[in-house]
Amino acid sequence: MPAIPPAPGDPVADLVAAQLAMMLPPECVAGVQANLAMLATHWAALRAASEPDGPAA
Amino acid sequence: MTPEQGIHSIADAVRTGRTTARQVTEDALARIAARDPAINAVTRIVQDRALAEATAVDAQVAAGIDPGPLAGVPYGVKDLFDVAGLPNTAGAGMRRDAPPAARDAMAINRLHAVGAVLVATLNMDEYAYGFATVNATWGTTRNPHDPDRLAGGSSGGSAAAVAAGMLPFTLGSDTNGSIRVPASLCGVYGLKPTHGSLPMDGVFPFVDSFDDIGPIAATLEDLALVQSVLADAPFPDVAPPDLALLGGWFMADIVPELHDALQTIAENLGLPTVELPKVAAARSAAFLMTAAEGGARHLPQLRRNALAFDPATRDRLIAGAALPAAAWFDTMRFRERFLSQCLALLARYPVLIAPATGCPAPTIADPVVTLDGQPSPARASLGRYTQPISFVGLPALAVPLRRTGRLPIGLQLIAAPGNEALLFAAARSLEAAGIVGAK
Repeated sequence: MPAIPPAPGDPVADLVAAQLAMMLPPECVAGVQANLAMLATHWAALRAASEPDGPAA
Repeated sequence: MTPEQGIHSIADAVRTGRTTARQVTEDALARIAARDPAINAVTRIVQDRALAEATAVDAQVAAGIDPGPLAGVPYGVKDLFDVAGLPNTAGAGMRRDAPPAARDAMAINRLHAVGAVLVATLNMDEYAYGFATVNATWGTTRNPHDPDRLAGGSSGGSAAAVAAGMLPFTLGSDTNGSIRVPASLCGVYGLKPTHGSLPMDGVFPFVDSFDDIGPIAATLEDLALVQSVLADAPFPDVAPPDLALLGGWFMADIVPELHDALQTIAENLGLPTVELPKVAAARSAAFLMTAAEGGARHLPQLRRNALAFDPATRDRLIAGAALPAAAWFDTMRFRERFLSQCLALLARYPVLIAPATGCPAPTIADPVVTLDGQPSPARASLGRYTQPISFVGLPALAVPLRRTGRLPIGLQLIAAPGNEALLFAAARSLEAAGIVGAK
């Protein structure tokens, strides 16, 4: 296991620990959270465009 | 001999004994020493190897053996190609002391076989994840047209070394636009070939689904020559194809001067303006697939020591690794449909014209671009116009719009898979019309 102290109690750290078996360093929490939000936006846009009546552009 | 004289002239002078490969190499090393401190394109100079390769080329000439079409031509490679005896850093400080590569990448072998001389490795964004070439370990590569501005990335060192006249050609890699974006911002030519068409052996991977290597050069003909060597096949002679301008999404968010230039080109050449459906979603899908594959690739190292990564790369990779598999499958389903739509349009118009970037190089002090009307980080967003194209593996040729006295902006010419020859034919016709050119 890494020698990095975890960031306990943070939802992003908990998600990373659960999905990636990785303790998220506190320095990464804000950046990972921002990137997860951006990826969620892209995924939502992709799903919307994949609907038969989704955006044309 | 200088890079401005072109690869053909350099090689011809070496082959005919009017100069030596050693002299050409020493000149290249001197130019790098003089010019690179202001640009920071070069990460390592392989002087001993370069002089040994040059000496071998000269020995061939002296023995009456033709070294090949790149005889004595110096070049550099993005710092993710295996170079025998050196660690392949992939732009990551944590890999500075990685075990040295046992042999050269296959692309380097092909260039060596026709007389080219490797002199340097070149700067990049860490693990090729960025469009800026702002590197926590090796620093920022500066744009030779204005050192206060970005060179673009992730093959920024490769484009800047050519634009600064240090080397006549270089190799880069392009996953989402990493050759086309820096070529556009530095005012040089760059090719992202058909996905899978050039050898990736000995190239540090990023996103297997759309990683490709390709050449960058100061002139179209130099680029074509290097590409024919890398592909190990000459280009067929083809007539200039029908062209169309990609409008709609591809004309949004570009600076007014580029918008006007594209409209003028379409009017003067009588080009139709056409649209690809769902391009925004294609960019989103490329973003997701890149994050997921890149994150998965680096997850073991992230688990071991996340803080050893460049902070600008690290958090993107961790978030990508955490994407659910459902997102990945959505991107794969969408990709099939989007490729079909691209091919249908290319069947009617064999070469499409679009911006390679929507603006000239942003400043290093304020590295943002406009995206959907809002400021967005250049590192992630400069590839807005290139990502949907490489996402489906199409070849695309970045060419500099002729705009003397102003900062460069490039166009990308796009064709169906395997139709690189059409791209070069189209670029030649645009050069002949005075629309495209590095000067």
